[in-house]
Amino acid sequence: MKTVAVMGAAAFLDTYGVELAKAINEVKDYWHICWLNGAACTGCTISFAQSVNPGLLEIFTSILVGNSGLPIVLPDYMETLQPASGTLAEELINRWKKGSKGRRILIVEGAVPKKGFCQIHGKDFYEHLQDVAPYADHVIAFGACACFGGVPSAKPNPTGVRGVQEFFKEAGINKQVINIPCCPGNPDHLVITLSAVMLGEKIELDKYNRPKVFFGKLMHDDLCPYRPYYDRGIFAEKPGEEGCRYKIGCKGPMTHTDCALRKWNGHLSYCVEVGAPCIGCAEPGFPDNFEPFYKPVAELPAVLGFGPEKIGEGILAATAAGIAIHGIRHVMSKKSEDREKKR
Amino acid sequence: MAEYVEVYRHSIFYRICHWSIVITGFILAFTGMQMGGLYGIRILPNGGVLAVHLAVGMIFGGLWFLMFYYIVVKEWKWFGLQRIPYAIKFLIAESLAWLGIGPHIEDPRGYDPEKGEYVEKIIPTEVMVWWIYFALAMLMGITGLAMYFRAQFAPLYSIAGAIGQFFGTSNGYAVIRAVHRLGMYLFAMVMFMHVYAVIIFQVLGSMITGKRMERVKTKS
Repeated sequence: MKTVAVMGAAAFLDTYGVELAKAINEVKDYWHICWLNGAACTGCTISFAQSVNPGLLEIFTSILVGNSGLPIVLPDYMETLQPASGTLAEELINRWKKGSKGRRILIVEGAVPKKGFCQIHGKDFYEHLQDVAPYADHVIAFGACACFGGVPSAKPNPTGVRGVQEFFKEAGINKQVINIPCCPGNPDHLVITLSAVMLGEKIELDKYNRPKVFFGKLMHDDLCPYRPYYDRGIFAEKPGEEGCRYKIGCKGPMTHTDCALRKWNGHLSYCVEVGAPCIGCAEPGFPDNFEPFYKPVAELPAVLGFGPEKIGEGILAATAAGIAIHGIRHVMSKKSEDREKKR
Repeated sequence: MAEYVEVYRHSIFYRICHWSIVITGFILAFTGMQMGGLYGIRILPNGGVLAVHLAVGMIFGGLWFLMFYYIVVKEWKWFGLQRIPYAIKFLIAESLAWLGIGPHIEDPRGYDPEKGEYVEKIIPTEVMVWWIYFALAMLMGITGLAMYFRAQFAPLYSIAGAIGQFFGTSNGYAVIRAVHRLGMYLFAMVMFMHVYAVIIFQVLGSMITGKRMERVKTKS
């Protein structure tokens, strides 16, 4: 994992793909995956499925166990991609539950709403989660919604959604969740985390349970390719222009992520690269804490709707007016004093 | 007619400190505005504005430290914290007089040539101005360093995040950055008032030459 941090995922996969394949090959047992979808847009599934150069994903599915013809990683249950449907699909969860102990991975996409919302097969999503969680040996929350609530948790949060870890705490489920945020989640983040889990590598997490190798660096200070523009004071005035995106609301200065290295859609591009500002989707509190998206970071705290810039300008205008009034009166009183003296 | 005497009022060290703070303050203001993307200001079109801002910021901090040391050692009698209540009383009385609901207080400044010392060296409100400047310099220094050295200032981020919840954000960085920006405007506000006061109280020349014609007074 340290090497991943140093090299970045793409370079790591290119360089060590063969060695990883060998290492995973030596594990030689099935790993069972249950992928649940809660309150989300399914963009994370799409992001994962659209990884055109999947690297490790390809490795996972091409390593077969014995003469079974089955890949080492079995996606036992995945609502959006599995061919089965209805009751048959629900039975697949039982297959996952019966998987080898220590090798059952639960991946959750989407937030967990309160009772009465997000019903699947006649049960609330939280009930599904409660049902499978005890069997999970490893839990991965994939995407901003599963990690911290994401877009569905935005004020006023009518369905009362929260992230998986928070739900586990409320429900008294004592399991650690590996949070892989971003909106959508990045396939490299997930595939490398999965491989680390399978190889028994220790994944160092930050205080929000995010793998430090992906979320340990501050976008603005450490990775942003547009940082030189900031240092030179060159700013894009509107999305799409060349320059640092700070002025159009980039939240890179408060976002820990490696998006600039990772990129999406087969390492093609990411938000900032296409001219948009970073909206902080890797951080807890997204989106509420990062709105308005198109206002600079310093304008986020406001008093009666006014940011520091407007307040400061108001103070300066009042000062200038006060000085002008005082100055005029001072001059007038001096003149009248002079007239008095002449008399 | 009042009698006046020329007095050496400001040492060369103090004057150099003062004008160096003015110059570095302007550089900080303009590089800061460039970095914040404010008002289209670009004083360093091809250079590393952050590097300049940081380096000059360190010099600015050092100059404030020197000035603070000088004030404590040489001028504490006039600028000490114990004089703040007196300064506030003076400000209130003058404000009332300005509004026409009280008498003007006579300019208290004066020099006793026999004793070779000031009876009163400054307009009392200068005490407040100095301490407000000092507090703002500290505020700008701490918030500026915190933005650059995040790990070392982690506790400040926690405090800022907690305070930020009252202002629509729980992100410590956003709060620290906002305070730094607001501090810039407050600095400018105090500077405007300072410049205006310097003109109407006729002390600009003494900060250049060090000398001023002071009214002769004796301690009563």
